[in-house]
Amino acid sequence: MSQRQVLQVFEQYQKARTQFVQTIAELSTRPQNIETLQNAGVMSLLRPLLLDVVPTVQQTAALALGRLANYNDDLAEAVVKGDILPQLVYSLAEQNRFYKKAAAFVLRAVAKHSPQLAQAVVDCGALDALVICLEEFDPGVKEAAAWALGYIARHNAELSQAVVDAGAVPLLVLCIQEPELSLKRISASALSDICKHSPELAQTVVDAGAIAHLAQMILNPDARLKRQVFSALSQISKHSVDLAEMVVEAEIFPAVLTCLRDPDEYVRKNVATLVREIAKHTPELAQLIVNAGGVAAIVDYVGESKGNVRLPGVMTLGFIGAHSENLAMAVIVSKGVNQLAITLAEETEDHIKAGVAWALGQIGRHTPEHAKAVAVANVLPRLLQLYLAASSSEDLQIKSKKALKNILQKCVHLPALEPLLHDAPPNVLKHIVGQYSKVLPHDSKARRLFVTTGGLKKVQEIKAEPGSALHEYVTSINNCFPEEIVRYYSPGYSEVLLERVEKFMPTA
Amino acid sequence: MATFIQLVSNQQRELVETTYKMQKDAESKRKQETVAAIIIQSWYRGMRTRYYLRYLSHCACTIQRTWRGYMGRTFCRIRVKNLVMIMRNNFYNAMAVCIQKHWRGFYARKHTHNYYARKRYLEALAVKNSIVRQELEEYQNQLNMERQKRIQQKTEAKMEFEARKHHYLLSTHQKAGIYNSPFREYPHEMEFRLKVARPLSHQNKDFITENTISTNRAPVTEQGSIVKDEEQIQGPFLPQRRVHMQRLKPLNPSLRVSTNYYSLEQEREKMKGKEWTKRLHEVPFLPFSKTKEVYKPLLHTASKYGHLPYGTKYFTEENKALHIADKQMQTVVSPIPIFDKFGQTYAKGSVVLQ
Repeated sequence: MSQRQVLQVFEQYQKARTQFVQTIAELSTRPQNIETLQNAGVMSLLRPLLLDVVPTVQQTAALALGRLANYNDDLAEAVVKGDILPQLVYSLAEQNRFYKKAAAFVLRAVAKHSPQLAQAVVDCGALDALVICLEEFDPGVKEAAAWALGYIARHNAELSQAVVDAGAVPLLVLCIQEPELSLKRISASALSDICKHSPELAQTVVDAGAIAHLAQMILNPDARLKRQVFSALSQISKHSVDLAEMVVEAEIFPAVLTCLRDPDEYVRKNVATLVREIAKHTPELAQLIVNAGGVAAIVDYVGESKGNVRLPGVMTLGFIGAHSENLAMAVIVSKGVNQLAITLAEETEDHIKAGVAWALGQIGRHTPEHAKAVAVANVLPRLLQLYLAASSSEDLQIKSKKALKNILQKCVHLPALEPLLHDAPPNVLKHIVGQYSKVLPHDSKARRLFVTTGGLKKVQEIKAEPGSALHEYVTSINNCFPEEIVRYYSPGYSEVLLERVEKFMPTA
Repeated sequence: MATFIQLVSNQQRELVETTYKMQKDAESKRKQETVAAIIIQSWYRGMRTRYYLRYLSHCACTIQRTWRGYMGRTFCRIRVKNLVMIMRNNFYNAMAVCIQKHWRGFYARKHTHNYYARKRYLEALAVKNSIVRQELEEYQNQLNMERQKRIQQKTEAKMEFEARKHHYLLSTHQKAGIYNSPFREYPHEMEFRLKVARPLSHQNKDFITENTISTNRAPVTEQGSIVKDEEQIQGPFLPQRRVHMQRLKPLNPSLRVSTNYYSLEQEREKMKGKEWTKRLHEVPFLPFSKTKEVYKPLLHTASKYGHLPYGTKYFTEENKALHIADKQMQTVVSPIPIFDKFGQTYAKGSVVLQ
C-alpha cells in the first residue's frame, strides 16, 4: 500500500467525525430531536469527542453538548454526571477562543436549570476559569463567560457570593465599558443577577463603580441593553436607602422618565420598576421623583400599558402615596387616582387588581380630602364588589377590604358612601355608619338628604347587637332625628299602626 | 318713877298678857316661820346660784363666740385666698390656652402645614406635570417619526433595488411593459421607478447589491470634494476611498508636538503670580512663644560630616569629569510614533491579526 492510501483512511475518519458532530449540533437545535438523540446515547458519544485531536471537532462537540444541556435539566444532569465539566473547565484555560466560547456555553446551559446544577458547576472550579475568560481579548469569549457567570449567580445568594468571591464584579464592570453592545448587555444582566439577592452583594457591585457606567447607558438607543441596564439599577436600588440614594445621585432623573415612553415594552417595565424601587424607600426620594415630574410620567405609563407591565407603575403610585399626605396629594393632582380607577375597571387579573386596590388604599388613607378624591373616582363600589366576589383571590379580598377600611375611615363625602350603605356586609357597614354618625349631627342638609334617599330606613333595618360599636353608631344617628321619623322608618311600623286601627274605639 | 309704877301697875297685867300672847304666837308660828325662812333662803340661794351659773355660761359664750369668730374669720380668709387662687389659675390657664392656641395655629400654618405654600406647590406640580407630559409626548412623536422615516427609507431602498433588478420590465416605445399595460387607466407606480432606475450590471452584482442595501455615504474630505464610489481598480489595491482618506487626512500632531516645550514652567509662573496677587500678608506670621528653642536636627538627616547628596539631590552616580556638557538632561518622555498613528495609516504593521 502506498502512503497516500494510509493517510486516506485517517482523512476519512476525520471527515466522518467532523460530519458526525456537526450533524448532532445541527439536530440538537430542534427540540423534537432531543429525545431521540438522548435515547441513541448521544452523551456517551460526545464525551470522547471533547478530547479529540482536531479542534473543530472539539468545539462542535462542545456546542452540541451545550445545546443538549440547554434543552432540559435531565440532560444537564447527565452532563454533570458524565464528568464532562472538569474537562471543560480545564480546557477553558488552555484552548483557543472558539473552544472557550463553546465551553462557556455548556457551563451556562448546565447552570441555568437549577441551583444544584449551578452548584455542581461551581464545585468543579468553573468560576475561576470563567473569570479568567473575562480578561480575554475576544469580546465573544467575554460575552460567553459573563453570560455563564450571570446564570450561576441568578439562583441564590450563596452562588452569587461565590461569583463575587471569584472576583468577577470588577471585570464585569470593565465589560460594561466595552464598545460591543451584546457584551454590555450581558454583563449588565450578570450584574443585575448578582446584586438582586442581598444588600451586601449589591454594595459590592456599587463599590466596583458600576452605577456610573450603568447610568451612562440610559440613553443608549439599543432597547435590549436598556432593559438590562434598568433591571440592574433597580436590583441595586431595591435593597436599602443608601443604595437607592447612590443610584439617584448618578443623576438618572429626569432622563429615566423619557424611557417610560420607549417603544420597547420591557424597557418601560424595567424603568417603572426602577422608579418603584427608588420611591419605596423614603419620603425624600419619593419627593424627588415627584418634583422631577415622575408621577405624571408614571400615570401616563399606567394609562398606556396593559396587563402585567402596568403593575410596577401602579405600585409606584401606591408607594409614593403611602409616604405622606403631601405626596398622596401630588398623586391625586397628577390624576393618578382616575388612572388607577380606570385600571381597576379594565384589568382582569387578580394580582393587578390587588395592587391597584392597595395603591388606592394608600392614597386615600391620609385625610378626608384624600378620601374624597378617591371616593369621587367611584372606586368604592368596585372595591366592595371585589371584596364580596367569590371569584376574587384571597389576597385581592384582603387588599380590597383593607383599602375600603382605610378610605372609609377618613371619608366624609356622603354621596359616595350612599350606595355602599345598601349592599355592604356588616364589617364594612360598621365603618360607613360610623362616618354617618360623625357627620349627621353637624349637617342639617345631609340629615334631610339622608332621610329622602332612604338611608335612615336602611339604618333602621340594621340588626346590631346592643353594646357593639355598630349599635352605638346607629343610636347616635337616631339621636339626630325626631322620634316620629325614626319610628316611621323602623321596620314593622305599619303593623303597629294597623294594630292601633284595630284597637281604636270610635266615639258615638 | 311714880308714873312708871303706875304704868306698870296699870298695865302689868296687860303687859303680861300681851307678852304671853306674843310668846304663844311666836311659839305657834315658829315652825311655820322656819319653813318660810328656809324657803326664802333656798329661793335666794337658788337664785344666786342660777345667776352665777348664768353668769358663767354667759362668760363661756362670750369666749366661745369670740374664738369662733376669730377662727371663722381665719378659715374664711384661707378659703377666700384659695378661691381667688383657683379663679386666677383658671383665668391664667384660659389665657395660656388662648396664647398657645394662637401660637400653635401660627406655627403649624407657618411651618408644618402652610396651606398657601402647599397650594402653590400643588399648582406648580400640575404645571411641571403638564410640561413633563408635553416633553414626553414630543419625545415619543420624535421617536415615532424617526422609526417611520427609517422604515420608509428601508422600503424605498428596497423598491429602488427591485426596480434596478427588474429594469428589463420597462416598456419600450414599441411594446408596453407589464406595469404599463394598455388595460390600465394609468401606468403602475413601478413604471416610473423603472424609468428612473439604473439597471444592475451583471459583472459586479455582489458589489452593487452591497452598496445599495447598506446606505454607505461617501466621505467628505477636508477640501470638501466628495470622492465618488468608483469601480475597484484591478490589482492588489486598497479601495480608492480609503486611499483618498489617507492622503487628505488632516494634520494630527502628537501631544509632544502640540504642547509647548516650556508649558510646565509657564504654568508654574502663572500659579505663582496668582498666589502672589491673592496673598494677604507678605511677612509670614511667626510663632513667638517658643522662639528660644534651638533647632534640633533630625538624627538621620544630620551628621557632622554633612549629608550625602546622593539619594536626595541626585540619584545616579555623578562623575563630572566624564560629562560632555554641564547642562542637565531634560526629563521628557519621547513620544512613541506608532501609538499616534495607530489605526490611521494603511500599513498593517501595528494591527494584530486574530
